[in-house]
Amino acid sequence: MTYLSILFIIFVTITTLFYYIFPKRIRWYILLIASAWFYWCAGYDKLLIVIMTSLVIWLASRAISRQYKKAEQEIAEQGIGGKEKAALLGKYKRKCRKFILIPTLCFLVGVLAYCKFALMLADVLWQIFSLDISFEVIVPLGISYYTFSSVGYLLDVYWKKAEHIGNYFKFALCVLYFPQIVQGPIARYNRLEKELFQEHPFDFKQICFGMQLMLYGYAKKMILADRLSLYTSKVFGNLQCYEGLVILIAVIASAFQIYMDFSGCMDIVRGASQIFGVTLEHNFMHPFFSTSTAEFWRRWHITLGIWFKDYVYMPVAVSKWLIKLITKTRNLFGKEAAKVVNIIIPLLIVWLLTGIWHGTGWNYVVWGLYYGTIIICSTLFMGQYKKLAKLLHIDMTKKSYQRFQMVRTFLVFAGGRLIAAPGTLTNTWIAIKQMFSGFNPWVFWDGTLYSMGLDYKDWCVVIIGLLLVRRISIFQERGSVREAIARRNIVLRWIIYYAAFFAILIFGIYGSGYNASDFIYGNF
Amino acid sequence: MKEIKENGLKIIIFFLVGFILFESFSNIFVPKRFSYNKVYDAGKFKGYEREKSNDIDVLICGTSHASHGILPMELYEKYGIRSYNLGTSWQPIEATYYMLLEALHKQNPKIIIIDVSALYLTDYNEAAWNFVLDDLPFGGNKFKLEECMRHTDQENMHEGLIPFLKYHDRWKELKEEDFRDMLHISRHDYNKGGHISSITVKSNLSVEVMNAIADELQQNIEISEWEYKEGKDYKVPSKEMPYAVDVTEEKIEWLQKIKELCDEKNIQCLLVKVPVLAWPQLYSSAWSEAKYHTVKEISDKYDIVYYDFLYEAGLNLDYDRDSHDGGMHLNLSGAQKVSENLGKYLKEHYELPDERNEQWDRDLIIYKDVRNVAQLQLEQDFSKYIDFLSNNYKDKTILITASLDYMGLKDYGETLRKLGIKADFNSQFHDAYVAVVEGGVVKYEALSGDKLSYEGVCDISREKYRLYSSGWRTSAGATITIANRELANSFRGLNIVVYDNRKNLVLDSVCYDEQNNAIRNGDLIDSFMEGYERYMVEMED
Repeated sequence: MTYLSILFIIFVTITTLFYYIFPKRIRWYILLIASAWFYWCAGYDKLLIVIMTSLVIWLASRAISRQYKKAEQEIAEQGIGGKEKAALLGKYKRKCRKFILIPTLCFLVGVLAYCKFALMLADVLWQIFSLDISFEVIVPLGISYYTFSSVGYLLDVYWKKAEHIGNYFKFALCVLYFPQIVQGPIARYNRLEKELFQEHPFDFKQICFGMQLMLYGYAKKMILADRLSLYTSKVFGNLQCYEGLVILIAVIASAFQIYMDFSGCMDIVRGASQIFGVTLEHNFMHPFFSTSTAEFWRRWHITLGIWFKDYVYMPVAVSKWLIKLITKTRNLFGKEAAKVVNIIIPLLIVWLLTGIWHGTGWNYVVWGLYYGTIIICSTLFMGQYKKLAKLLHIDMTKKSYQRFQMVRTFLVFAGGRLIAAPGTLTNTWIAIKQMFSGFNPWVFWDGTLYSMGLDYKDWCVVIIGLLLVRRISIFQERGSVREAIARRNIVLRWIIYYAAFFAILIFGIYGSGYNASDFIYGNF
Repeated sequence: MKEIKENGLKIIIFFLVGFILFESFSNIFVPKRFSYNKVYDAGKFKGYEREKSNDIDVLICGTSHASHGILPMELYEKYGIRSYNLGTSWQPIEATYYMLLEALHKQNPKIIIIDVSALYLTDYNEAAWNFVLDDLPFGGNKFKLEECMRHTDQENMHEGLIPFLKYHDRWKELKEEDFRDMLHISRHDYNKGGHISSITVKSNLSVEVMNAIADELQQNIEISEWEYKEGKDYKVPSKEMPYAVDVTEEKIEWLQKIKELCDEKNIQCLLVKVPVLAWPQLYSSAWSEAKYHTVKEISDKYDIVYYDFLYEAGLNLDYDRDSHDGGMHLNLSGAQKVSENLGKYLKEHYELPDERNEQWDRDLIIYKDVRNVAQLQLEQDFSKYIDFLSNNYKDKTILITASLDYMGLKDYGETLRKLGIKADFNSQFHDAYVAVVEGGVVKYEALSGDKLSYEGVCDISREKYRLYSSGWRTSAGATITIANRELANSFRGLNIVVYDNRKNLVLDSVCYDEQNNAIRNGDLIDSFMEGYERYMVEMED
């Protein structure tokens, strides 16, 4: 069952009915049953895996929690304080790390790595050693997302930033919660716990707002993202046949496509969740308004960025081995060199892992290093850049300069798409070669662009749609669009809702597709 | 709860308005199919639904061969048999079954006629399923037919039940008629599902040759050249193509289901085969004698009466005149012969009283009017054509231009007198000529060695027309436009356009060349016929 299917709409409707029929204190059971059923539709074997995994995590967090309680008990009994207390706590912490945390994390990451890389490894073994190892890999739904959420939860419990969730079924709901399980956002279970188990009253306005957000998500996904993919898939699937602006347009289209796709899905899941009164975290905050790549990644896939910051960047930045390395560098090469090392190492590690998280091919490793390099350089050379701007009399506070920065940031993102979208590094190279093999502006008027999956009317829909999303995004930067609409009179409100709904039904890319020329005349 | 009570009315109205909008959009987006469509045979059930209950004695089902070949109003005119033709293009036998289940809710026919082409229909043509599916009302039969159709595509199962979702892509091709007809999804059909074709395309094949090729194909022999009895050498594509004569078990099962349905409802089931003359290596629908025998065996085995129009009826079909696509489908002339024969057969073998009523008589008047137009469009001979015009179309506007070369108009001169034309063509040749005859009176005519041009306005419709003619000396050419639409065929010869002033419809456009051959543009004729039938249907509705 995908988020785009009619079955999902029916499923959410029925879940909502049951949710509000039952008393508040047991509503979370409805969500748990619904989430389990949603996951069951993906395959009972996958559900079993995720249940087992969640049980392992829960037992681990319980074990850690118990160790800490034991430590506190001992401290209270012995009445110790200061250094002795710290030493005792340290002892229990080391025990937890060695016997619970690390094995559990290895298990979690191991399962994730197996699901992501096992087939690739088998392929490599076949190519190098002619070893024929054929097997099936069961990949649980949303494994990347719930693994990261679970790792974060376990670390938070270990670091005492979060409490262990005592009821296993409540914990299972945090893991399985159906709006977020497939594509995120990556949840912080301690925060999600508060949202899920709070007794939400029936709030008609929240339900309406949730449905409106879903509508917006469906519009972005079905009208824009899926439409753009008709063009991009055609071009990226046959790179040798195209050149010049055709490929450049595909790269730009791909940038918009992935944004509409991902943010559209996020709106659908956040909207569905809002219907139950549960607020999920934002994952996108109009990233194309960013003025730098660093800012872009604070607005794009926000929860992933925060996760890497909290669980990779910070631990690496304060780790003993890095501090040692920085100290050594400072002693050997000076302060500046140490600063460089301090900036480069954590960022490089973060971006390498970000790349690997996004995909299994070498192109994603390059993709990660691409962004890492850009962010590192922009951090390292920030001072020089400001000096240059001053030299050229560029006023960096002006709106026109900010617009330039937005375009520049978008082009950087498009560059990243050029690495990832073609699928492999070889194809990326072909794309670059073909893109610069000719300059062909006539594609705009000789019909070329209208014969590659999208005709003239489709492009009109795309351009109008993108302009509309941009306008809505500008409004959203200033305040809530849904609240603004809610303040309007009922006729205008309903016109907007009906227009959005029917726009999706009419312009959405779905179904088996109708083609007037499908009928083969003659014979019978 | 309080919130629900406060907003309850708003919610109900919101969904009600939404439902109305949904239905309206659905009506806009669903393709407007009706029996007068010439590109395909569809939209039959929508007209059928508008018939009075228990007013039909014979139902006809099958593929486009049946749709083209049997005209219910011919059966009614000559024999008083009330029938309805539910044949659609490529109609799968599964669709026939479910359509009949639905059809029998409202009517209680005495006979159900099934054209057996569908027994050999093995290719999947989704559009053809939709021709039946889209017209069925929402219910169990529609759902089951949808299931049948999409047995491998469960994900899009809901599309058949909600046509808006299936046809939403049509937003790019919506026309005025989609909006105009949104409240008229169904209309009363004077023609009872009949398909009138007024185009003639000669066949270069004979039944004997067709059977010879079919026999060869069954033996898998490569075909290169053939000599025919007429003495012509005719190269046909050498292509080895299996020509299936056997009927699959699956198809026979569906036939049995239909038979059981008929037995259950006490209805007689009659299998027929409308003649199809086609190259067997190109068209699996080519009706060979081998297929006839196969179906005969099946019908005997399952005790179903079978009547073959090609091999049993002794029809005198002339494939130079009776087909609209070289033998595959019959035109009006051929369909009249088949219908006449069928009517006689039904009267002889079944108890069908001559039942006439007021509604059917009114429909017959309209049918005759439309048939007249079709016969005009089918007329090949110049003299007969002018006779037709002068006898039946005197009140119409007739526009004539000549685009001539060395022969001139001498041969046509005398015949044209019947329309009141006075020009003396004997004295001149290589000339330009234009004429306008309106309401039986020659409003304008001119004959000249120079180019001629004339513009006018039609009396009643006030549409502007323009005539242009240029003879041999000034490079031959001819134009006839009405409301800026070019209508002349512009070949060398005499161009005639017949226009119905009152209805604002063009009825015919023909060009007679120096050899007395009638030249028409098939697509144009189809558009005229479709426009005329549509007008009559809308007027009657």
